[in-house]
Amino acid sequence: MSDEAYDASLDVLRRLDPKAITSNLSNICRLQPELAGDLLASVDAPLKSLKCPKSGKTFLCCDYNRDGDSYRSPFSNQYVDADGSVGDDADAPKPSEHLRELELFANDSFDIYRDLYYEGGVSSVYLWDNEDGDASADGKVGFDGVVLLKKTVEESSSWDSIHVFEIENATAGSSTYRLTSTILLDLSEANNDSTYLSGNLTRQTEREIAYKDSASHVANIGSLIEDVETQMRNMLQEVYFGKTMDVLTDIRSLDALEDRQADRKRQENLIQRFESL
Amino acid sequence: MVSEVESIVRQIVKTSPPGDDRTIIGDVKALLNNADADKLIAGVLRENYTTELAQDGKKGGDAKLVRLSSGQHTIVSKYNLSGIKFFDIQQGIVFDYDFINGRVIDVEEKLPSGVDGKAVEKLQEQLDDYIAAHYNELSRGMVIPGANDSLTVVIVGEKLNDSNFYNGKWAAVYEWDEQSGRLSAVVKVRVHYYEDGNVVMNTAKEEDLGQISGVGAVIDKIAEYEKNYELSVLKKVNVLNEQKFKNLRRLMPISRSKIQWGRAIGNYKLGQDVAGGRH
Repeated sequence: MSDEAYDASLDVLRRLDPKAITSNLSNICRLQPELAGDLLASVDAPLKSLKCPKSGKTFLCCDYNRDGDSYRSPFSNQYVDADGSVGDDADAPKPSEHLRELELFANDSFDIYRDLYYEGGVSSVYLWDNEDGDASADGKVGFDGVVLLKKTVEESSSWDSIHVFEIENATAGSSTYRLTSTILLDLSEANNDSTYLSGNLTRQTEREIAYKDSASHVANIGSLIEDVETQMRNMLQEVYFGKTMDVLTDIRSLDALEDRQADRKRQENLIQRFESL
Repeated sequence: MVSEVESIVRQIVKTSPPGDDRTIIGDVKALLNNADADKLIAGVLRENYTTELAQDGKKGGDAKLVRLSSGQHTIVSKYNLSGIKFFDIQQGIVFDYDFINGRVIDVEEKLPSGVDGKAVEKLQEQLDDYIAAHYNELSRGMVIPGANDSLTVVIVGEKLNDSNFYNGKWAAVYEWDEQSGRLSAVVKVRVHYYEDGNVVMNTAKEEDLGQISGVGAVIDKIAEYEKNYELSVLKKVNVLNEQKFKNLRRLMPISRSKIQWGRAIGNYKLGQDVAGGRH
């Protein structure tokens, strides 16, 4: 039964108005409290942020840097409670020593990326060691991670990117990068405006790329995310502004249909006349 | 007293996309997992389509197209409700609707007493012409006479295409008060696109359209208003594209060339002019 309820939860959250994803998600967790943990981990909602008490900088929160109610800061590597204080993280997961160095490098790299593409916003990268063991400097033991980006304009529109990746088979000088990217885009002219475009698109990408060392994994992931995000931006533009408007004008046509039919006939006649010349 | 569970189901129904009710109902049943689930869901759905739900800030509840066994479509809304049954003046029937199974039931060939189809016949013809000219095939318009020669016009246009992962609905209600001559409008439009994701375009508007010279001008006024409203939505979406979307993430970086990833990425300077420079 629990499986059935879990599938139903995911299915219904994939269909309900994405603008209400946060409240619908918490409602469904109230209906099915035992599924809450799994649902919060697998359903993408707009990212929340916290301030790192040590560096004073803002970082993004997701299930991958969460332990209980606190979130690990990518700046200090310490867990931060919701009230902004440093939490007790003696037993909380942290990346291995080398991976933490890579994490800092990845955060710096994606900060550049964020600046160049977003001209604002926040980015955070979290890495964790995979089942093969601690990430190695030669890159042969890979790692998993998540890249988060968020930008809000005028409090009424926002973009959230969530890129989860795995590095596999890092053995023969090249490895397989498996990437699941979700972009949540919410657009409206003002808060609480009843006219809005809101939603998310998800895309999975798998690519094999040559690597030299562990730092080149970060470069490969960066370049892959740069490509995928640019493609997804085009998809978003197509769906949000193309498809939804096509459906709107399909339901109700601005021109009277008989006018359109008459136009088409005139055009056909014209073509026939040209052809008969 | 509304139970917590019921208020959650209400919220789910309220945020449901157009079309595809069966899937949502099936999911909610699996989530509730109890013997009374059908009854609860049916009650919430009936409430959604037959009462004044002000939750979305726009009056008028919801309206939808339903299919008769003849293949014709009719409307379920609070405006063509009499007692516990819906009526369709043009087809001369009263009917009930099974919200769980999505079926029109208990059809009777009669109209509720006091509902006079003759009075709105001419207006209905005008509305039919307008609907035929501007809406796709899956659409219906109804002129419903009210007390004191007032009347209500309900328009529901749907475009449902689950096999291509999109559905859309335009539901509009116009109320004309013969005494004051005023016409009011409530329009609600929702388009859902859900291939590899979940995207909604939503718009709703409640407006006073002012005084109309007489009942004969009602449909023309509606046609004019709907055209302007649709144009304003298209314009607004275009502004969202130009002013919001483009400010969130650029198509190309400021440097106008793809990023040089790797250790050399440190050569980029944060927040300063880089390569091509800011513009």
